[in-house]
Amino acid sequence: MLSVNAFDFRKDERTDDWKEASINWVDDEDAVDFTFKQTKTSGELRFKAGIAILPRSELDKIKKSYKFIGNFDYERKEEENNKYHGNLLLKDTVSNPKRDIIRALLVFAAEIIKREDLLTV
Amino acid sequence: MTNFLQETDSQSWAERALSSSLSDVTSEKEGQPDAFRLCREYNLVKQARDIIPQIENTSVAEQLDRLLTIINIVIVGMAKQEEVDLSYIPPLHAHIDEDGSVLLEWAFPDFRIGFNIEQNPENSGWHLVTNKKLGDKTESGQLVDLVKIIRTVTSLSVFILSNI
Repeated sequence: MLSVNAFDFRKDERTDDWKEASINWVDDEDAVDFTFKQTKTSGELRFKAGIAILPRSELDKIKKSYKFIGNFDYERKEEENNKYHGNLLLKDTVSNPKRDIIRALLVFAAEIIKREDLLTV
Repeated sequence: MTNFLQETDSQSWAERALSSSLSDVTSEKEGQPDAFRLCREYNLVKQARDIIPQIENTSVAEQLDRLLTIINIVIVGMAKQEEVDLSYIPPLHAHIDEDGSVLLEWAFPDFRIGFNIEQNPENSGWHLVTNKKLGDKTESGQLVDLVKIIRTVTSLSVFILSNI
């Protein structure tokens, strides 16, 4: 079962008042395949077990909920080697309990695609 | 909105069970009841309890220890009373955050229960999030005093046993 820790919001190099969790936008049919092939700097596969796909409509539900207005957002942020890249955003000031409620909602919004299900004979 | 965390007879049951387990034992330090240490560990809380030595903050470690003991007593006792097979209940998982707090996560197919253990106990809390099947509900609260913690865990246990 997917843990809420799969959505790891970090400050990284942001200078605004948001923390970010990296995502890829499913812009076209190649995006999922691209994501499965992504590797770390060590050469190891980044997503060994699988990936989670989040419908944008579910992200909008959280974003517009009266409980989370102003605390959750998303963005597109292309990178040099990744045209699909973006981020889920969590306000800096959000408490841990509220953060984890949002993360639990993301878990339930996600469709999981396991790597083993991609293998074909 | 339906309040599905309702007080039931199970609440008074849990309080009686915890009171009786506290009544017979005294610890070596300070003469305070310390029945928590005698509870049998089940796999439900083992992974989470194993993380306690890694927790730097004493307050967080103590809060987690106490919470796990209460959860263990209440859910195991209620499951036995209701004749529910414990293997249907997934284990709790603890994760130490960068800021030294702990998230205790209890993941079920249709709902998630989380406990945030913070360095300041007044900021520690619980939450319950359900999926569409159970109505997309979210509920949350604090984990401040012992009686309220017992009542919260009891209510959550009733919910768990009704929805597994």
